[in-house]
Parts: sequence; structure tokens; C-alpha cells
Amino acid sequence: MASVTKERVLFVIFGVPMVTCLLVFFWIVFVLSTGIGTLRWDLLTTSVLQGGIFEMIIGTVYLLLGAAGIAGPVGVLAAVYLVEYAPRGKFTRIIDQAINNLAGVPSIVIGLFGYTFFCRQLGLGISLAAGWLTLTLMMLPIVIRGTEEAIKLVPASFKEAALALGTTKWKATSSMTISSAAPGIITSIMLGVARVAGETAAILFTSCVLVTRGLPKSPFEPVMALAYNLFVKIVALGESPDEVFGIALVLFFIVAFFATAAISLRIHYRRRQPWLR
Amino acid sequence: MAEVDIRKLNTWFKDNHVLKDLSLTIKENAVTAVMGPSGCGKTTLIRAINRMNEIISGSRTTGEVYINGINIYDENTNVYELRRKVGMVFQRPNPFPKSVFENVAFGPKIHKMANGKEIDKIVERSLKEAALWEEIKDRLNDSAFSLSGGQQQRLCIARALAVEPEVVLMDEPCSALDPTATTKIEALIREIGEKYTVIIVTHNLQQAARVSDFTAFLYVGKLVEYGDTKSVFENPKSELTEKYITGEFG
Amino acid sequence: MSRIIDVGLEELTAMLHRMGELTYDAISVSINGCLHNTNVYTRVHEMSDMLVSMADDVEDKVFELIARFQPVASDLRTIKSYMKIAYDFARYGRYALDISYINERLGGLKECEEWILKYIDEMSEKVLSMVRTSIYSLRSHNTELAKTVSKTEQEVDEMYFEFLDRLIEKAHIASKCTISSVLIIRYLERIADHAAYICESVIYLATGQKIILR
Repeated sequence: MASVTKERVLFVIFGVPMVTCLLVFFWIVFVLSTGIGTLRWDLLTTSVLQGGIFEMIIGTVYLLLGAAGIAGPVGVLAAVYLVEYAPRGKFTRIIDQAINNLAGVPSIVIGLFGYTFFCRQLGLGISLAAGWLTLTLMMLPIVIRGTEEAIKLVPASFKEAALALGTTKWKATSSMTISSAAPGIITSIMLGVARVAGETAAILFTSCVLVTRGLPKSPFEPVMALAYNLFVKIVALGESPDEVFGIALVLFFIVAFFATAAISLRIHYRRRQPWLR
Repeated sequence: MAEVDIRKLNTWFKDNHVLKDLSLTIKENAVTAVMGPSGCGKTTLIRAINRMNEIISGSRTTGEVYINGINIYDENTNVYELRRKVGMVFQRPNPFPKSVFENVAFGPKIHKMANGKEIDKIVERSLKEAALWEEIKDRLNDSAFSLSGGQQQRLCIARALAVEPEVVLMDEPCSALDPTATTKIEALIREIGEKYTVIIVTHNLQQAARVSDFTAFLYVGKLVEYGDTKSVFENPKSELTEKYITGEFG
Repeated sequence: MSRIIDVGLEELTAMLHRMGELTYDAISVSINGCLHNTNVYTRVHEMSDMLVSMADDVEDKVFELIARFQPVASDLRTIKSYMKIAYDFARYGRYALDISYINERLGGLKECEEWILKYIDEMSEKVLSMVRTSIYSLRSHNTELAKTVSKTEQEVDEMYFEFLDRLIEKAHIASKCTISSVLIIRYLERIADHAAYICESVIYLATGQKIILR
């Protein structure tokens, strides 16, 4: 086959899936937009007890912030350990594999584990805290892997130069590697959040209830969440999908917000990392 | 200014015996060039003087290196203080991803050598010593990456000088630079050689001849010849040296 | 493996060999002209001019090699020596010219006594052999041969002073012969000196040692 023709054929072969994805994306947006009608500003700010969805939104936000607050530091430190300090050997390979496996565990299983361990064993009951811990388990692989990649992209020369000046290994790592990798780290945390924002199964039995009286006052109280409510309304209460589309749309926007923010941050900080070009 | 006395230095990287029983006394306040074909151990040798080989896993070193009479391989040695006293400039300029000022101030801050206005003075002194002050005194807060290659390397030299070292190690400092920048740095090396003990690794024979007072020739991990540069280049004692510098191999 | 500087070094060596041959001719022609009273002045003049020009060329070539190739060690000693030797060869030519000028201007040795002619003949034999030694030791970088020049140089020195003594003793008036012969013997002695210089340069080139053979 002449190479010009071959190029054209390949272009089509690669182009078709991309176009298909775009089409699917727009179709999803279209379908969701039929729910725009049910969205009103007062709906978002009114308490559930009066027909709004305020507590659901805030509940989701609480869950996400808390999970990020735990998964962030833990994930970053774990990644730093794996890249900088872990000795090459069987033990490290096992840890590596375990992280990969964790990423592949179905969310319902994680939810069940969370319920058994965090809610029952540790006595947290159905609470925000249990939700945080369970969501952390889902976020960790993303944060760890993302941080590892970000750290590996930082040129070793910075750390080497710092060490040659007489810094300790930790100071060299923290002042050079971590701070240079910061944009990548934040991006991976945001991606982790985007991943778990719509998680239903994990929070199903660990932290959510259908209705709470106001916002939870401590982490040990249960919480309302958009995804949970969506699920329950359709499956358990048999409400028509049209009515809950508004909720779905809000959830969609939250996830889209985090994903977009992650990408924008990454683009913005690329400028300050000339070694990546 | 310190004399570096290397005695029976051996270094292995896993099973690879890189430095073999190397003994050498580097004169203080002079520029000593270390030359030899690729793989002869010259970089390993200078990295043994600030114990940077230890960072590489699988490395092992025996022997002694005395700086001003103290063995730096003694188990009581404070490696961090050693690395302050023995500075290093690398092959590719590697400034920190910070401003010019922060780059030079990094070392003194880590070693708690000064604070506040004192740091400003140290930064100015170091940049002047590295012949960079005039060019960037108005750009101290610019990112280090906005400087040219030659300026970045001089910045790295200033950074090393900021902590008041006694020995300055340079690993092929000009090999990533264009001829104009190289000329400036060579002149700078000769200048700082009057105040510090400078050891420079180079694969450029003419550079070794231009820049150094003493020259050591290494071959496959062993010291073949060491003497004042004029004698080594005009009338080398060893035939191996002669063959290397006249270009018959290497 | 041939190096980039080798071509230049070979050219330089060839230039010196040509100079060596030419300078030997100049000296022997000039001395023979002296002893047999033939007029060789113009011819020797040409040869001497050519030697001066060749010495300039050698100097240019040496500096070209230095600027372009930064030679070191044996290469550096070689071209340093070549430059000196080229100058010495040009000096040979100059003395040959001076000798033949004596012949031209003062009429040479035809009025001289037998003993003077014999002396000059013997001394010029020795000097020519020294010149040959200098040229051959250069060609082969033969230090042993170069060292032999030392003995002959001493002999020439002795003969020089002996001649002056005898001349003072025997000749009481300054005649054409006296003046001619003194000048010629003097030039011969200088040629011998330069032969020794050349051999010293050969030893330096080969071994890096600076030895005095005079």
C-alpha cells in the first residue's frame, strides 16, 4: 500500500474512536440537560426538609474535602517513601503490587470493607469519618501513582546539587523534589477527588443516610450525599428519573469542576517547570 | 585552602572495581586537573572527596582521604559539614528551580551561616567571586532558568562558593557550554584557584593544559602520572601519558 | 592510527631534509671553491638566500601547527627543535656565503703557504663530517650519533686556537692570505658550533633532555 494512502487510512482509523467519544460526551450532556429545567437557585440553597438539596451538596463537599485531607498527605508520604527511600527488593515489589490491586478493587467491595472495619470494628458507625476513610482507600492509588510520576519527572540534578551542598536527604527531597512536584501532586489529588466524587457504593453503607436534620456537627454523624440520594431515589423510592436529573446534573458539574480544575492547574504550572519541555 | 591527601583509595560499584589503590596529594591553593580516557575513574575520584559516591547504591570505598590532616572517611565524620567544606560544580549547570538570589542563599541558610541582611551580603560576595554580579545584580529575583547556560554555570559556582568551602570540585564544568562561556569560566577557575583548592576533571586536554597548575593522569582506575602541568605536557615521564596526550589513543 | 597533526609534521620534516641537503651543498661548494680557487660566490649566494627563505617557511609552518593543533610532549619538542635547527641550517648557509665572499673579495688562499692550506683542508674535513653527522642524526633522530659530534667539536676548537698561535708565530705581516685564512678558519669554527647546537636539539627532541655538547 502506498504510504500516502496508508497515512490516510490510519488517520481515519484513529479519528473514528475520537469522534465517537466526543459524540457520546455531547449526548450525555444533552440527556442531562433535559434536567436543567428542574434546577433552580433556590433548590440548591434550600434545605432538604423544605424541598431543596442543600444538605446533599454540602454533604458531598464535606466527604470530598475530608477524603482529600487524609488521602493527600498519606498518599504523598507513601509515594515519597516508595520513590526515595524504599530499598529495591521483594518487599517493595509487594507493596507496589498491593497498590495496583487496591486500584482494581470494585467499589462495592471497598464499601463493604469500610462498613465492616471502619463502621463496626472501629466503632465509627455510619458517619462522615467512616466515609472519609473509605473514600481515602479509593483515592490512595491515584494519589500515590500520580505523586510518584510527578516526583520522577523532577530532574535528579536538583536533589544532587542540594546534597552536594551539605543538606540531609530529607531536606533535599522536601525542598527540591516535593516542592517541584507540587503541581503534579495537587493535580493527582484533584483527579482522585474527581474519581470519588460520584462514588455511590463506597458511601452506601458507610456514611450516608437519606435525610439528616441540618448539617452534621461532628465527623461522627452521618451525612447526605448527592450520589447516594440519586441512587436511593431511583431504586428504592421509585421516583421518576426526570425528577432526579437535577441532582445528577449538580453531581456532574461537581465532578467536571474538579477534573477541569486539575487540568487547568497542570497547564498553568507547566510554565514554571521548564525541565519538562 | 586545604591540602587533600588521598591514600590507597579503592572504590567498587557492585562488582566493578573502579579506583585501584589510588594515592595522590593535591596541593592547596592551586588548580589540579584530572584527565584520562572515558571510564578511567576520574569522576569517581573527585566524588570520593566529598563522599558523593555513597549516594549511589552498591558503592563501597576503602582507604583514606585526609583534608587538612583529618580523614574524611573516619566514622565520626559529619558528612554534611564535609560537603559544605568541599563544594561541587557539575557537568550540566543545575541551578535550583528558584530565583537567582534563592539559589545562592540556599547553602548559607541550610548551614545557618547567617540571616537577614547578612545573607544579602553573602549572596553579593559570592556572585562577585563568580564574576556574575555585574550581569545580574538587577535580576536577583528572576528565575535561575532565565539565565544563559554560561551564566547558570557561574551561578552554580557562586552557589558553591557561598558556603565558604576549602576545596572546590568541578566535574567537566564546561562540557555543556559554548566556547565563549567556556573561556569565561576557565578564566574564573584560574582566579578562584588562587583562593581555593580546585580539582577539575576534564576530558579536554587543552583545557587541562590551560587551566591547571598540576595535572594527574588516570588510566583504568590507576594513577599513571602526576606532576606540574608544564612538565607533564612538555616532557611526560610515562610513555602511556605521552601516548594519551599526543592523541594516539583515548 | 594517524593523527590529524601527522600530515603537518611530515611536511615539516620534509622541509628540514631538503634544507639539510641544500646546506651541505652550500658549505662543501664554498669550501672547495676556497681551496681550489674557483669562483662560486654567485651560486653559494643563491643557495644561502634559499636557505633563509626556507627557514622562514619552517617558522611559519611551526606556528601554524601550534595554532591549529596545540601539540604537546614529543610533538611539541619536535617542532620546537625543528625551528631552531632550521635557523641553524640557515646560519650554515650564511657562513658558507661568507667563506665564498672571502674568496671573491680577497682572492682566496692562492698565495698561501702549504701548511696553511693543509690546515684549512684538515679542518674543513672535520667540519664537513660534523655537518654530515648533524644532518644524519636529525634524519633518523639518532641520539648516539648526535653525541659523537662532541669529540670532533673539541678537536676543531683545539685546531682553531692552534692555528691562531702558529699564525701569530709565523706570519709577521698581515697579508691577503693571513686575513683570508683567519676569517675562513673562524667561519669554519662557527659552523662547527652550529653543528653541535643542531645535535643538542636532536637529543632534546628525542629525549627531552637538554645536554651541552660543546
